Amino acid sequence: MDQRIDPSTHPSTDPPIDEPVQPRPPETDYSSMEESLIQEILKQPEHEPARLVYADWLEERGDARAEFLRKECKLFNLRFDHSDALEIKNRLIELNDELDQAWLKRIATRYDVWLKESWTQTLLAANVIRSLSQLFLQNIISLANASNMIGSAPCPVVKGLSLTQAEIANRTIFKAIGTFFGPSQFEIVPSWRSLAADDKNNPNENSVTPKST
Amino acid sequence: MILRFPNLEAFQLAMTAGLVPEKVWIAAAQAGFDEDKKVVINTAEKITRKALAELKQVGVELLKKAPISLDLNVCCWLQVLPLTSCKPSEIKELSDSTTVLFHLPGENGNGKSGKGTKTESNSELHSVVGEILRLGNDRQSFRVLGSNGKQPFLNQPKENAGANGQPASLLRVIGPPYYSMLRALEANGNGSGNGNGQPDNPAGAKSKVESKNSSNGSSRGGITAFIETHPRVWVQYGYEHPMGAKVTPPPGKWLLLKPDNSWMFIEEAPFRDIYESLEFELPNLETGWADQPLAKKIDVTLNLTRGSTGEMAELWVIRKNALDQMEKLVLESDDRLLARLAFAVAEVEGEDPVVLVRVRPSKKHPPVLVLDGLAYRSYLKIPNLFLPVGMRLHPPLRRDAVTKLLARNSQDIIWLEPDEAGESTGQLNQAFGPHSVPDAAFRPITDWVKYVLDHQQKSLDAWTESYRFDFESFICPEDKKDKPKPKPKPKSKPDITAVSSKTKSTKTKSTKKKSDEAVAEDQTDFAIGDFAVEKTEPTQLQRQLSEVEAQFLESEEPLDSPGRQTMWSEMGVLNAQLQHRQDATLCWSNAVWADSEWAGADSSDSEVSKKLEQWLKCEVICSKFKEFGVDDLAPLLNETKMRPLDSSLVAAFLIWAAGQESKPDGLEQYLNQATQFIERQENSLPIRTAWLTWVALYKLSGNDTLMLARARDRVLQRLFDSGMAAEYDMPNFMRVRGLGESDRFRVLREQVIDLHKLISEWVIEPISGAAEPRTKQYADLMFAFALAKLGEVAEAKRITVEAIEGLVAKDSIHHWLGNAFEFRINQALNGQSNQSQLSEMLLERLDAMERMDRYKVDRFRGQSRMIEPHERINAFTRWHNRHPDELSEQLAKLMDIKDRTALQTTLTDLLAETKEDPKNYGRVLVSAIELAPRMGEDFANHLFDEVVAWLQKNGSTMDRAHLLQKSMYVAAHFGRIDVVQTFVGLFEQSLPKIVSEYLNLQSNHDPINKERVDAIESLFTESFRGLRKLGMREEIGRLYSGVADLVNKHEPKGKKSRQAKNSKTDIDVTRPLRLLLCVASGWYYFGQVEQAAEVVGQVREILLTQTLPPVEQRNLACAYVNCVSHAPVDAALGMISELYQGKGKKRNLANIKDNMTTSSHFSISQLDLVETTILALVSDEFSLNEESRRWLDEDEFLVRRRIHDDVRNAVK
Repeated sequence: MDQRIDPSTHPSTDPPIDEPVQPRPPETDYSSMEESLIQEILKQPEHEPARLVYADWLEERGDARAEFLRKECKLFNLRFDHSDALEIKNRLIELNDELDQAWLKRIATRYDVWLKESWTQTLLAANVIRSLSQLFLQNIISLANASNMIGSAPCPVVKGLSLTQAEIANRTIFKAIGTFFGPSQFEIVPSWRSLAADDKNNPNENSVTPKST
Repeated sequence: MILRFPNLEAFQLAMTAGLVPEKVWIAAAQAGFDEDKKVVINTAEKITRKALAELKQVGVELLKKAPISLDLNVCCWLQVLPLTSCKPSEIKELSDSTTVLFHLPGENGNGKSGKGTKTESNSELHSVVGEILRLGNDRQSFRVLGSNGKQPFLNQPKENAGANGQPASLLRVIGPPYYSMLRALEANGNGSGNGNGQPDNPAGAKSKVESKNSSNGSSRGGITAFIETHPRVWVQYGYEHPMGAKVTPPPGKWLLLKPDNSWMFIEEAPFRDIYESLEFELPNLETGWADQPLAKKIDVTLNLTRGSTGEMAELWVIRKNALDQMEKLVLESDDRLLARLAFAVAEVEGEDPVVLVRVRPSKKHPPVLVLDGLAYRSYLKIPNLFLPVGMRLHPPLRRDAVTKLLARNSQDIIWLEPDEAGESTGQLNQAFGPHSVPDAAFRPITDWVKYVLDHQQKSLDAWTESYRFDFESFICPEDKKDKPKPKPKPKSKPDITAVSSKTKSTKTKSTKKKSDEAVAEDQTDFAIGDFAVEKTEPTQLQRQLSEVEAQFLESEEPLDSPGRQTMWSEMGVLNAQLQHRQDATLCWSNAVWADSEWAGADSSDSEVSKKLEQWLKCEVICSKFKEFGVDDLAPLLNETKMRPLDSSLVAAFLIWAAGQESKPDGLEQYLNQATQFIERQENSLPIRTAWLTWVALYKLSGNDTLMLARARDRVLQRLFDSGMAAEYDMPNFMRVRGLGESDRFRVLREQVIDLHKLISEWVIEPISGAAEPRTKQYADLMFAFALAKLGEVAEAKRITVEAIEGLVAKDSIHHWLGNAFEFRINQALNGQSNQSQLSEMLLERLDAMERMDRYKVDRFRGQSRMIEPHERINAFTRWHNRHPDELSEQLAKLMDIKDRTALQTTLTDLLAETKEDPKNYGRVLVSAIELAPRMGEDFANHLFDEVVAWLQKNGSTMDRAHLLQKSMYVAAHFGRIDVVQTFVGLFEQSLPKIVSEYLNLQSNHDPINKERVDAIESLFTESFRGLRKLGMREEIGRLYSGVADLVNKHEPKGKKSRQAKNSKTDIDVTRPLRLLLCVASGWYYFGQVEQAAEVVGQVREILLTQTLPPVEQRNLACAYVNCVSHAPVDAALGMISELYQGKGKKRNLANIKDNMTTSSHFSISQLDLVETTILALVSDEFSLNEESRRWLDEDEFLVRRRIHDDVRNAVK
């Protein structure tokens, strides 16, 4: 299931992806302990230890989702162009096919923003980068990285944004990003699959490598 | 467009205030200064009218033609601003880490030569480098800048241009010498221009040093020093740019600023280490030497020499009046101080005994003792090597060399005693002699001290002393060559009596502890009941005892049969004669246990009375008394610290008194004191003795039922917490049944040590992705705990010290866990129970830890039964600290309610509130039944009815399993066999459903199943164990057969394939095996070894040959170890060792590893198996013979039954 969020295909009145998943009551599929651990993650989506503790709990029960969470955390700490990133993302795609999609939607709260067009000199202008940095703090990719990617498309702009389903639904994020790139020039993809999904089809074109070293 | 600014300030303001647009002032221009220091600038950029109007307001004129020649070609307007020189006080002080860039422009920096070549320029560089090297700084790197024919500095005045286009060098020095800096300052003071009338030299710098090079006009004058004031902006030392913060060089370039408005851009490039350009001249030609072996080893005499005097003494060797000094120390010291000391007595034939006092391991600083002896401290942290305080070894050697040379045997304590000759002559280096005693010879001083109240001195005159020491002797080998080798001394127990100085001489002899001979002599004075005591050799007594013991073991009569009672009495007498006091007490407690008549309200039986008298006499034989009466009782009751064995005398006396027709005279007045005394001491008495004493006090106090009921609750709680313990509640001959004691424990210790080596190799393999785990150190600490339990004091201490050293002290997780292990190991070393909570200090430290660190520690605590034997820490609950619903929160808070009435009220309310909701009512019932032992029998009886009713109607399998397990245990605890039978019936009814659900549970996609699986596994293991203790062998047999049949008939509905890891139909194939292992451990218990071996063999095959997923392999391996620990010892040890064999890829159980967050510090999976193994080895289950284990379990049942019967009778 492709979880890309393309603002151009979603009128502003509709939510860009499925309706936000409501927290499940403890007596359904999730045990009360698991629900508490998930709530801890949702409370602070950017707090990595909460994910790792949940992964411990799952690993102790021989649950494959532990591997997914650990790999996702590892990926989050890598640069876009790190040599291990592609391998990890492909493994995450494999796991995705085997895991519960409802669970994935709940737990995957970190997203990357990708430009459909390539970086251009205009977009690279310092004030764009500066404004994006202010908006997304450290998540924006660095100026140096962006300049290395001029000409390659699609290309990353913002990495690892922590978004709740509600934030995606109310479209604030689209408005903010659209200010810089135009309303339909970008897409928001769950971080764990932001590159690998395309790589599967055309790995050469989509692999992001620095132009010069 | 030509502009004239009235002065430099207006010029600067135009830029800072934005009067001139940024695009104008960052562009290149030509500038100059007229006679009035007005700035004239010509820019190609256009300025708007509005901007010009604003500029006009600050006095700027727009000119059509430049009034002066504009010589300054600037890259931007900022370059027009000259550098300002700093005041001496403002000059940045150079630290050792300040980086300074020296620019060496060419051979003649002052422009005098202009002919420098590359070689010449380099020679300038070499000269400066050599100078700085001579001044002791080699943190230098350099770049040689090639010539492109252009002026290196933009806008450099001609007179300062120097070697235009000539090669130059940049020398980067970290923390340059002050001398070189001053030279650079002075050189620039001579050579650099001014151009704008501003001072170009920092004041004062020039006058301080007169450089000889500059004074004779040498080439060094061109050296310029620069400091990096902003990123990539280097300003000449002693100056600053007025708008330095605005100057930003283009990416990849550095900018060097000089005070004469000259700027230089250079490409950013790596510097080369200075050693690349150095060539060291060797003074002479190389000479070749051939390698030759050393003809003779070099003799180096090791001496003691003066060292640091600040060390604290940890060992004292007292040679002069050693025993008197000890007596004095004991008399004058606080008992808390004494508790921190251990001591040993050593002797060499023909010499006075030497007393060694040693500080016991503790976190506190060693105490300061004033003793007339030599004080020692440990050396190089070697735990068993001590040097005199204030001395060290000369020459100093490495720790491992010292250990090898002087402290090779870790089981000995070695101290280096300086030669008396050297000491007296005050030589700096003194010879020494190493002395040693076995570590095991050290005993806590408090074990040998007994306090007596002064006001009772009079009544004690006839028999006692203030303090008594009883030292075991041993031989201290002397290493001095001129002394004869010590001869083995016949074993004896020299007694030392420490009394007040006035009475010592008169009392010493009369108060010595009885030696074996003396005991035998005393025994001729009287007869013990029917057993006439004759003067008999101890060996003969031992033979007699062995015969009775053998007869007892061969007997097939029930444990409470009359025939066995007689044998107990016989063994009681013989043990007393042999001074086996603990065994004597245990045998007599068993002998009178079944004679309940004496405890009745009014009856007394002459036979029973005789038995009780015999018991008392035996206790008296083992004590220091010749006879014992009410008068002797009183002083003992006041003692706050008493040896456990002495309290058994008081117990025997009270029991004897209760069995008499009339109370002994004068006892009435001491009953309150006696009750308090027994309450204090009851945990040091065997459980049977403790209960008999309470029944005696009940009778003596005129049937105080409340007192008896309270005592029952305490004794039952003790049974509930730790059950009957082999070391307290089982006589020696039962404990060592099978092998001889020494053999059994020797084999066990050797196997533990061998296993330690194997496991150390097994865990040492790195975990993927882990930074610096310390799994091996934790495994070592677990072995240290096991060895401490087995009495291997020295080895346990050695391993502990080494393991703690191996943990990273600065890491809060390692630090905390290391301390927690030390705490538990010390408890084991001191023979204390490890059932208590961890120290307050440790728990407080844990609460103060960072959240993730605390989580990791909690994960360890949650798993480790060594650190947390009772409390089940759930690290995940502590992590999220939330409850799924209100009821969960209320139930969790129940554990914190200390007050029994409040607890009962809360529980009753909760039960009433949830009565209509079967699911929640079941949850409350589980909590209530868990707490029932605290609430008492009435509450429990009420609950049993509710539980039975609920189980007959409601509940998922997991809820039923949970409640059944707890209820059976609590019903057994309260002696409600009838209720237990009902629960067993319900269990049997539910068995097919429970087994089927257990086997069908899938774990991969529903992690809650782990809790279900755990609950059902716990039901089987705990229920079987509980039923064994109730003597319900038939019922257990039926359940075992039922489970085995159901497992064998079960057809799994899902796939067994390991590959389909994530398939929803995948089933854990190890699950039926785990259930069968649980049954097999019971078969081992009942001696059905062949049946058990079949299951074990099947599991062994899977464990060692198949690749299981890590979690399943870990769970199966733990279940396997738990099961085989019930097998005969030799077989069990072999099967356990086998698990850890192999190396590298062929290593067994290599798949037991994890990627959890804790792997940064330890592998929790590996440690789980290691701890399970070690605890199995040191458990009663393992160390006891099969019959003895069964005896202990069945005995617990008899004890419980008797306790309940007594209280019921009392209530009636």
